[in-house]
Amino acid sequence: MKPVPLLLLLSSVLLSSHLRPAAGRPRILPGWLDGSGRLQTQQLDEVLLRAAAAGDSTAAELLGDNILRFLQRRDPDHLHLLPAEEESEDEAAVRTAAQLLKRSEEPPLSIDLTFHLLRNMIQMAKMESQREQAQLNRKVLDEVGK
Amino acid sequence: MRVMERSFREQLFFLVLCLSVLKGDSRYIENNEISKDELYSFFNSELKREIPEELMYRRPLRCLDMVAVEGQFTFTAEHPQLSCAAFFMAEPTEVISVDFDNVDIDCRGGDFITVFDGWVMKGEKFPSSQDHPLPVYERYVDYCDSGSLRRSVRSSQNVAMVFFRIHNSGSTFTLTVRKHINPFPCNVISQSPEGSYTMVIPQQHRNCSFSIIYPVEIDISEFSLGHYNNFPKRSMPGCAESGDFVQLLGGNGIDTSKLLPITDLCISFTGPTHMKIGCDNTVVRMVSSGKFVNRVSFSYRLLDSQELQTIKLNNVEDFCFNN
Repeated sequence: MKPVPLLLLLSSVLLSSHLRPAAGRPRILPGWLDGSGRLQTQQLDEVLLRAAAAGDSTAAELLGDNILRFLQRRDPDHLHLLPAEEESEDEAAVRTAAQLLKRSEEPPLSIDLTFHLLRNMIQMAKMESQREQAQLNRKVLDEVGK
Repeated sequence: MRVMERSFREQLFFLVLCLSVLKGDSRYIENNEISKDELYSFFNSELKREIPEELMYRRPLRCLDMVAVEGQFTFTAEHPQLSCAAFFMAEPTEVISVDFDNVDIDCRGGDFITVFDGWVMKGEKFPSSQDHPLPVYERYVDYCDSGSLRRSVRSSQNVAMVFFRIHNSGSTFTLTVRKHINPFPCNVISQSPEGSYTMVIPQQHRNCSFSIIYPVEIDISEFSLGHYNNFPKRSMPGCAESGDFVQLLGGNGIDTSKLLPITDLCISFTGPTHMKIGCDNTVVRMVSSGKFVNRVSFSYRLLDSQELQTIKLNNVEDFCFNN
């Protein structure tokens, strides 16, 4: 055999041994993770409620997590009335489900502030910014002057 | 025979060289410069803006706070703080990035630090869901959810805010706030009740709002559609039909989709437009189809108490504006 084709063959074999597998998404997604998130989670809510009522412990824990977060957001004072979450075997599944439920609902984090108060705060922040800029300018000019 | 041997040797060396380059054995000749590509370092202004440590502004963060300056802000809970929010604000042509540093909170105990891309007040969001590129749940970035994945959050406009809840006294976290230039700002909240501004939408199919949270007299001096290919030969039938126009909105919330339209201006308007608007929030909103480079220039000044009084007396209906 001629040396050139032999070299080509050898080089192709060596190069192919250096290939790395490409990272990618999992090919098979769980049923409730694909499609429109909002619709799926409404069904998930119902499924969980039914399962929890029937006495399924995992579903009850999933629901418990959801209730916990729901109440956390609505009223922080009632938080301590719920029993503490126990770590279950399906911790990853619980967390993913809770995240999905959390994401699909409108996060109600908000603050009740009047425009008057907001304007005052903006004014104070602008003054602070101007003071700091003046200090920075003074420092820079001091450096330049040396 | 010797000639063949030499050419074979050359080919062999060439092959070994190629393999070693591909394997990375030639990494000693890698470019280890900080800037990735010398050619584009002129256009990358990020590197030059690093503030040296000694000039970094530092102060404690309060439970209710407004920050308009770059620096490091540390919150230390002396007692449980369950509802705290800090607003961040920059110039119209800047966006804000917030980095989490030295976070020592109890995520499992219900603590959270959530950065929101925009401002939320009384359940209303700025920019509204229609005007913001991201869906609502992506605009909230929770430190506890993302963990090590997202240590830095960048806003899409000149305002951002952070909500946080700390249960245990002694818990602490630090936020590093930086500002970055935004060459084509879209949604803006004005820092001051007086000024002038030119909004440009460069051939994008989007709607942009400039929000002035004061009662002002506004004067729109210019609205133009820069043509790219074909300048429309026919005159536009009307504002509603044309895809590019300027809206003036007013109301008492920060969500632009919930404000009342005061007037629409499209290509057919001539001359400057003065309006006195006695609303808590006045918004100039530009709707753009993407066919043109849209530009609107306007100036505004605060209404004094007498002018406000006149507007309130003259109004038959309960709207906050008046021509």
